[in-house]
Amino acid sequence: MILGYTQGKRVNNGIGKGGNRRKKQKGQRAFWIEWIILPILLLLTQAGLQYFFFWWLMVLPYLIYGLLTDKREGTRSFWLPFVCSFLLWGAYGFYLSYQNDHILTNKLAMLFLKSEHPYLFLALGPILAGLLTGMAGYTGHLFKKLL
Amino acid sequence: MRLLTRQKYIFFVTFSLLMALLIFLNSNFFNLPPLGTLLDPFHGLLQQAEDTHHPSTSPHLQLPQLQDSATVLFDAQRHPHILAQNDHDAYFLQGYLSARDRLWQMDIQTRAAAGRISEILGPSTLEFDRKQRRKGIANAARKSLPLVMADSNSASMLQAYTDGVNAFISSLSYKDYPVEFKLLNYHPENWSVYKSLLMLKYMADDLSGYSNDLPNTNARKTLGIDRYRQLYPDFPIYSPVIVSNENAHYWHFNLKDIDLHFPIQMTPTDFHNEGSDELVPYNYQLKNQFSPLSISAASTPNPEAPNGSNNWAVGPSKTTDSSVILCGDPHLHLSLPSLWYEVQLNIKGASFTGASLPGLPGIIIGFNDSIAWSLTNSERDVRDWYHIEFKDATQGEYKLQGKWTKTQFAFDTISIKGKPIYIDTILQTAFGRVFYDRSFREEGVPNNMAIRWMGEQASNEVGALYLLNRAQDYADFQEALQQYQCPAQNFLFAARRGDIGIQQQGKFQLLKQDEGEFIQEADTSSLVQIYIPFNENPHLFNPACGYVMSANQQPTDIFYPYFYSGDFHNYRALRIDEVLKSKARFNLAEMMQLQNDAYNLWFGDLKNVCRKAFHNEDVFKHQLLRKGHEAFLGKFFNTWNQQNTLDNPYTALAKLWYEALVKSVYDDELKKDQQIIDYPKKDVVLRLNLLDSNFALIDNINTKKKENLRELLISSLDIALEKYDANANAKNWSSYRQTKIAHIAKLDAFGINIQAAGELNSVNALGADFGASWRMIVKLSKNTIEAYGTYPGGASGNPGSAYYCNQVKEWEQGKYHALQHWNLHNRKDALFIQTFSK
Repeated sequence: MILGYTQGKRVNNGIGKGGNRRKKQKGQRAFWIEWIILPILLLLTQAGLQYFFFWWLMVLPYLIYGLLTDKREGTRSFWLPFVCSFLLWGAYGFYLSYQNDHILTNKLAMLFLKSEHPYLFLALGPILAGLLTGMAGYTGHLFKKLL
Repeated sequence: MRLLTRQKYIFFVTFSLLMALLIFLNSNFFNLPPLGTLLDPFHGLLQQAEDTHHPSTSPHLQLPQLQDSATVLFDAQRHPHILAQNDHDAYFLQGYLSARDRLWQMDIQTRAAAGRISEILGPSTLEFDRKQRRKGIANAARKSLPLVMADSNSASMLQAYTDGVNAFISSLSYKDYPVEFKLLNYHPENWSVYKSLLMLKYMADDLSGYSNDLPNTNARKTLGIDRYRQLYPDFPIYSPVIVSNENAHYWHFNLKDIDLHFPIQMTPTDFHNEGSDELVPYNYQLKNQFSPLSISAASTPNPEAPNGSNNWAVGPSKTTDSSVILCGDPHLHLSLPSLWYEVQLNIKGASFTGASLPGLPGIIIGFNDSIAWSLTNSERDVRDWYHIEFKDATQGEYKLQGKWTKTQFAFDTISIKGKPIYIDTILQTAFGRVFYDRSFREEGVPNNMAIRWMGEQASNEVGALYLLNRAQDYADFQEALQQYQCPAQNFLFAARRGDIGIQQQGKFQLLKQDEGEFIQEADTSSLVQIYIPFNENPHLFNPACGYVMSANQQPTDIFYPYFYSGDFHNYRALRIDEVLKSKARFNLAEMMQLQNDAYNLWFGDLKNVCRKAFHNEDVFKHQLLRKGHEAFLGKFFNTWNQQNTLDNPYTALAKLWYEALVKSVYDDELKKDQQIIDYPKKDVVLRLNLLDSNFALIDNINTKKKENLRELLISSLDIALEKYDANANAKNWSSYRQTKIAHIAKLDAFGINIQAAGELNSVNALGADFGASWRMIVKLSKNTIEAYGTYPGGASGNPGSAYYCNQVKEWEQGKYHALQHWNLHNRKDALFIQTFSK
């Protein structure tokens, strides 16, 4: 365990020795998958699940993600889902509000937060979604550690 | 092993926390809406952020219930112009589009009418629901249903409308619900003909569901009949009535000599409050606020109840180009979404345009290709109170014509969100249900009072609307009104061929002198109800003066043979009459100006009172220039043009002065026992009472000294100045009045503050939450119809739409938009077009 962790670190930092070259290449491929393909897949799954079914189903893909990530990546299992769903809710919410000239969000910010700043209201949803999916990812991660 | 246990522990904590959060955010604990659902951009509130720049509906819709294809053109304000091939499709689409724009409003208003608000809001609105049910609004709608369905016109019109609303509702999923449904966390219910009738009876309650019986009874008891008539005269002689004797000389009355064989017990009883010994302080406000959720707590007595609808028409002899101009501005409690929904129905070329009520098919106020019409409230008292004497505490028997008669018990079940069902026991007597009893009380109102309201009778006003929309001349117009019963309105008429007319239409009981003006004893009152024939209601056609008008004033002078009482207001009528008499001929712009007239007529009367009291004109240069305020008061008296403009510094002082004056004159007599008594009307105070040098109420009965009017004028001005200086807003009338159009659910963020001219007694009557709910001017001539309108709101009921309150600016400034009268070949200005096929 300890050894593997050190090796992994080395690979990621690009300072691995010759003996680890094979692992390093693997790690680079994993980088694209980990940081581009997987988030997009997660985003799409989340969007699909909550568009066609219920909003709370969005935690599912991130639970699974948490289960599938490396046991050592506890922090990532929280932050990656957080960022993904923050972006999804944030971007879609912003788009909806933007094409509306923020008429509704101005009123909702006043209603919910007694504030004149629509972006404060717009931030609520993404933060909430981020927290929930982050927790889901982390829960998955914890479960994997238990196994 | 220990590590594993700790990990297990952390896992279970995180997992449970996640689950708990998900459950919490998806349900409504602590009366909070499900926050997760609301914030979810895919289904939540943001889905109602309507695209401001593109129409959010598809250009073509298929609705299998349609009988033919139809086209809907949307004008620059996004009001629909429905071009249909038959009645069914027109009303079907009116229902569909009204629901698309105003579904929540329709839902909440009919719920409020039926007393079903607690179903969605919980126990806090139970008393409101009980009150609505005791008024009999739902019962009235239920009773009218068979009558309405028996008339093929109203039945098919209402059924098509209902199907249209339901076609829209069935197309909805949670994501499409109006924001209010999401915030209050409930689902739209299917529409029905019954619900449309609820809407109608809701309006009837708003416009005729009040009564001054209790304040009148108290006042008469306190003052004695002679003094009572001094303060509350039957026929104020200075008032321009709607139909005067000289105009209506052709009139015949068939029932005027009828002998009403029943005694009227006119001695006010000493009411005893069964079940309670305490003396209740006064606060009597039965007049319903239109916003259903404003279940107002105790409010301070208002010297003036808001009131303000006007309508007038000038005939060819009174216009510069010999056309006919009809003007109408019904005033109501203002709310958002707007009460009115502007719409045009074009059925195979026959067109009706104007203001409709979401929830009702057809046009309420508007014009067709031949005539135009508008309404003001008649203000006649059609809700009467009877004091019931029960034999004992079981309330099983009550006294009716000297005999003990069995009380009927009815049970009304009210569902309450989150609580068990509430069962309200209702006592039924021959005079109606007992409104106030042991279990339902209002401060200052005696117990065991039964209510009889004209609006509770079965009626078919929708059938009348159907015919009215299609009327081509005065005969059609009168024919259409035959079945119109309640709320009684002054129906104004103008025709393209040059006719003008007005008819006060409603069902009125034939009353003995003073009957219905006071609380009556059930025991000695007669159950017989005879009604005034409709053709003997006040009406007027093409009078010699060239104009007809109404502004909630006294409908007739003393020649009218039948007794009636009501809550009449005269200042606006006086002003409109004055202006219409002032010139030989008028044009459209002058009529628009009159509709927005903010002239303060009563301040001139107040100055007259001062002149008379001080016997000279110099009073405004000496006696009334109070120390420290000489310069300001100099301008107030001598240079102010009496216009209640929005930023003038004088109106607030005039109002404060009048209020202080009225209190100092009348409070010692009227308010001594903390009873509910209304002050006399402003015009009575300023044109009769205070001009009468022998008026006895001037003296304060609580002091040994004998006061005179001069002293009261000066002391009340001092009080007013003190209040004026203490109020930072007083220098700006609009800031002082603080008019706000509130959202129906009183969600502050969805309301809007108003900056506009006008005062409650000016033609442009504007109060804190009350004003012109619709302004319309129609110019009819042989060749063209030109129409203009505006209302404080917008086509959409969605707070997230650019069309939610887009007309408010225009309305504030007294401007109008053209009411388009479109057909298929003339539609060049359409914002977008939507076609419908079956």
